[in-house]
Amino acid sequence: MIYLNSISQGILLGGLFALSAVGLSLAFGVLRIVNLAHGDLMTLGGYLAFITIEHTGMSTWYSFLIVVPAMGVIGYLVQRLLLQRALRMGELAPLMVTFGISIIIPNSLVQLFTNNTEQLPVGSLATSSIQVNSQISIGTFPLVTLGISIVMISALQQYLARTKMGRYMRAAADDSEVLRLMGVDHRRVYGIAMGIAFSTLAMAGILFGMRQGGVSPYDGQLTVLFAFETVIIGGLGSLWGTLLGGMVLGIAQTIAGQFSPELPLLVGHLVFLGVLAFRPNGLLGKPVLR
Amino acid sequence: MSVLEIKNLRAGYGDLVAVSDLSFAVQQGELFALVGANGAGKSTLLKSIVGSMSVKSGTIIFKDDDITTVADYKRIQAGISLVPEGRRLFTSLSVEENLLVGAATGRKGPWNLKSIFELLPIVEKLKDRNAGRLSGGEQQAVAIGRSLMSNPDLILLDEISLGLAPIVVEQIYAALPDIRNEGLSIILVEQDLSRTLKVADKIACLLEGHLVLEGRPSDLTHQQITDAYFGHSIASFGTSSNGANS
Repeated sequence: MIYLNSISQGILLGGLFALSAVGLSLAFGVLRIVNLAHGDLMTLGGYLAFITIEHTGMSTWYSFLIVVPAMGVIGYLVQRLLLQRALRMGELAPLMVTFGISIIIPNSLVQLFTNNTEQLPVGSLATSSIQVNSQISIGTFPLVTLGISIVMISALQQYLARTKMGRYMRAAADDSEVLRLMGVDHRRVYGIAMGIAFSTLAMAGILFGMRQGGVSPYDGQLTVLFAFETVIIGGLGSLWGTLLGGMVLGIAQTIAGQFSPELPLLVGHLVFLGVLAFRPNGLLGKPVLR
Repeated sequence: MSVLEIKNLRAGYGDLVAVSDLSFAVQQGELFALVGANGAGKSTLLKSIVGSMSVKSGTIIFKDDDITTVADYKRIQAGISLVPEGRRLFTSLSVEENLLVGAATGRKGPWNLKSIFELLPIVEKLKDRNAGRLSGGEQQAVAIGRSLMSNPDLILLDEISLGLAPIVVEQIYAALPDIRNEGLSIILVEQDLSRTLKVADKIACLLEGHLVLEGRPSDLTHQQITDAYFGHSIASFGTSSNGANS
């Protein structure tokens, strides 16, 4: 029964991992950009929520309404003004740009806010839970997080499948040169894709901060690792694979935590390496033919 | 009236010049065939026209506008369309989705899903299938339909028979008259001389990046064309000073 509880906790944690990985998957799938700053941008989202709370007095939940669109605009501008220029210089240049961003963000945050953790209050949800039986209880906040993840992934899936811009994004992932030859300005498509990626990572960043009690400047170094592992385990190019990858990683970590508090990270990495070794395209990814 | 005018075009990759001092014009509603052996510069010329490749010198005029330095996607919006060599469909999209992406310019005209399905019935049968799971001939039909969906004034067909079964090629060529009926100008790049001569209003032969022969098929002998194609002799037939047929 204790493992059943771990599995349920792992599934809930997996929802958060999945949400954090969606933006990474989208940026790589559509733009072929490996965003090394993904985790630090999540942290930036958390800090923007903190600033919003501090200046307006609103609850953390309402801060989503300001931070998520703001990060979307930032993502669009970063793509159009920075990454689009770097893409012209080859595949390595965008990687270096995101690496640079990953250095700038935490160091700037330390300068502005010190190394202390800044609180992102969850409110009454922090302590409430649903008691399934004497040994299994499900936290309301993790359950809400999982719900948000599933809704976001479903919405994004529908957006990519049913809207004109979603079609262009999938077409750009196939062949951006031919997309231009259909009369589509690929830079706009890339900008919107990156805007969506930044919006989802901002949501994940705030939720991570809420789960951990707050944000600190170097949180991104660990969350980027979880996001990469989730994408690889689930399979590149599959949003539902990302959700599955997050759950596998979450379950591996929570079960390992039953044995020792030092084991979760190690076991998570081992599962990731196992998937790379035996299913390099991930659990739901398609073989890449290029 | 010229839809497209190429004047003294020079284009290539890096230091390599693939086409040089090229001048010709395509009239409205005309099927202009470009022939030449591998490496003659045909695909480079098409890439220069659609803007996939920047030119070293020369001018490209489309419907009286100089588009030499205009971005590729804006040229498509202006009314040029390309069926690329190798089809290059969006393989993770369905056939119908490929056609809808082809309509991205929003240009008005005779071509829409319904008229494409009437022109190419095979495409309607395949509309829900993933484009990555089609045969070469099916892909070519979809690629042509996708290009027509932008309702272009000029369509460039690059090696549309390459690697396809003869019966499939026949079916695709059979659709060309219907496409032309809509007043569309066509530049057809082909290596199959005999088939090209049957459908073209005008033919131009490229050899090592130079235009070595231009004229109406009825005005040219087979010997002149094969000589120009294989480079046995350089001929000029019925061309005016700007390269267009008089």
